[in-house]
Amino acid sequence: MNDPQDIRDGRFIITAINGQQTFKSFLLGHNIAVGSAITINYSPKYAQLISITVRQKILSIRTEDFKNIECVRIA
Amino acid sequence: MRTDSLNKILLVGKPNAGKTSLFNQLTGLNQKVGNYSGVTIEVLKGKLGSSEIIDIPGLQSLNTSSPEEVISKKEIIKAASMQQTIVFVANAMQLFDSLHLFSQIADLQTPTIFAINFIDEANKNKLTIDKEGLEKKIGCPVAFINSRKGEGIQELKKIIQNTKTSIPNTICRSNYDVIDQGHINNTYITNLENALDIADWEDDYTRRQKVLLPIMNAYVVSGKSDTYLLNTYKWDKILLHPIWGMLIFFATLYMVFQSVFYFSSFPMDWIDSGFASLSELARNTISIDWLQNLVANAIIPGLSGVLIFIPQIAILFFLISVLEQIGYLSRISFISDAFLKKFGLSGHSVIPLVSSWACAIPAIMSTRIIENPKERLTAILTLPLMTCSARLPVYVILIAVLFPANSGAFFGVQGLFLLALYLLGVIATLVLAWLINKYSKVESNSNWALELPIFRKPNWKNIFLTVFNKTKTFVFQAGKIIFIVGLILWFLANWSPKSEAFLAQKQKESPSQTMEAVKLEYSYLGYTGKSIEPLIKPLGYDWKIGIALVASFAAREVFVGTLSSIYSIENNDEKTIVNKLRNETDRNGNKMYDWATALSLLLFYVFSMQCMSTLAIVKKETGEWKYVAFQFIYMLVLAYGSAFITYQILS
Repeated sequence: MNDPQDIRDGRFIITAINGQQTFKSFLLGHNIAVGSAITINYSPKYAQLISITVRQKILSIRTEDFKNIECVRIA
Repeated sequence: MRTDSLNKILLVGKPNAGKTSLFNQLTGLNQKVGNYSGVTIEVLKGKLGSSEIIDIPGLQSLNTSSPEEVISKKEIIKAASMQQTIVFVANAMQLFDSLHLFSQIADLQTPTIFAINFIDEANKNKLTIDKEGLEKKIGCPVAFINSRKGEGIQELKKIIQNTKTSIPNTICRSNYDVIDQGHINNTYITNLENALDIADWEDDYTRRQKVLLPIMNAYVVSGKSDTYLLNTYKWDKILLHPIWGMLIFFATLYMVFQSVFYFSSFPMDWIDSGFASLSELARNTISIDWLQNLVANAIIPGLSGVLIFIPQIAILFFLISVLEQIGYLSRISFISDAFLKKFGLSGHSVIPLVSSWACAIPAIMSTRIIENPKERLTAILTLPLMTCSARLPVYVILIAVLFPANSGAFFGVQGLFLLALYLLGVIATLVLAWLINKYSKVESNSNWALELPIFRKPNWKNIFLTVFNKTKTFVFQAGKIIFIVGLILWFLANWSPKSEAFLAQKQKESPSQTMEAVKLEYSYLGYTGKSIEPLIKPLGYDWKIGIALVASFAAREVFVGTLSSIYSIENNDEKTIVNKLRNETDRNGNKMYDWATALSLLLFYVFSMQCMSTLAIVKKETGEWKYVAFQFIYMLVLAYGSAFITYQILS
């Protein structure tokens, strides 16, 4: 599990996706799966959203959902 | 390569890939375009020569199942089963993202053209695509286009019309081959129709990834594409900032409403006085009494009641369209998600909510972009509380009656009061959303994501055409109803069950009343109004307002036109509707439209559901009459209750 506060601003590789099947299929719909490279962008705290860039597409995911995505920093 | 030639062309792609812009370029039509996902919410059709072009809502994958994606999926599978041509539209800068969906389309084995859009942005970011190489690899024609500026459209038209389109090479279709009694049956389409389970979908995704990655590496060379999003990142740091972002958000909202009042005041005055002069002209030139009466007191005031609001509605649509096209509406979704979540809504509800300021009907249809069924139902049931353009005429007239004009100043009390009424609509929507969400037993799911588009310059031509079309729709839709209601009211107002002698006697008994006023009071219309007076008297309304209320139950914009007709029949001395209302008195000679009555009326219109078309669309979208009945009743109770309390406190 990630603490979104620790992984702000940088480039990451997704190593695991936890949570319910609906969440996994939801991410797959956006072409996000284990192995996808993501960039975490500026995401103000008040919004309770994590803004990520996947393949030149900026996507915002709720903080509580993002906790289900495990990733490691690559840059 | 197999070839085929067909007449129906389906535009398919990810959300916000520019499909509707391409549709407009190909067909010469002007459907709404925006800079966010989910602008297209239903199937659009147009002609290109002998071909029919069909634009469908964007979809992420053929495996997903949100309501608008299901519409698209069904259309795509239907088209493939009939071997119709698909034009697959991809954003050049998000090509790899689109290739996944393309690969699923390719496996349907129907004639396909791969149109790579926003090629200008690719060139700007030095992204090189080997067109010929890609064509050979995927097995179908590739076209470079810029749907916003029309570049590459002629070439695409030639591919569609003059050459035979090709069926692309399959990507993963063979994975779905099943050997049955010695025969190979392919189950790909059956699997799509039934939706894959997650393990199969992950497997499918991985296999496609293995085929697509080498294609990307071989035919797409990324130059400085990392700079593509730099400007957007920079702007987002300001526009999403907890302090600056909020200040910009509220300032934008405030400027929109001030602009609606400030820039429309002069043209509205011209239209108002122009129609007053036209009525005067009709009185002086038409010699046949009944015809003069009909034209001067029914037709012209009725038309004036619609046309006077063109400037305000056009300005509101213009500003909303600009915010949509530059990409700011999606930032409002981002800013407001955490706040809206507390009320059972989300950032996805922002676009339906803002659209409701124009009209609740497209707003309710646009709730299809909300994947959570509970949130979608909550939004549908509460959106009509937002201030639609049909309420604007009622607000504008009553605010003008209560407050003197701005005297040329941009910031004025009229604009502030209008903003307060809009905010009241928003507050009511949120409170009701919270209540409905709390007590609703509809199933909920929490997966949520918001795509933030890059900031783009607005397409002015499209904005002006959108404003023109929306204003035209308002004028003709509202105009038709207002015109018919106006004619019915005129007949009812000019016929009386009483004799001429009775009317003359009544006028003698109360000499302060004109003969026209006496005739109106004892007409069929007067009797109708008086029959409902006991019900509306506690709200501060007389029988004339009652007539306008009843007449506007089908469509609230009828209210002003009806009042305009009634007061024109009764009193020709005052030229403009605002002056007529300002000088209107009750039986005791007191001002009719004082603070108590005007505020009570305003609140009635803030909350009441007076739009048959909205109720019809709620039925269509929810599929159940119980929601229609619930919505109509709770809004009526809210309207009556708030008007009653306001009048009783202030009077």
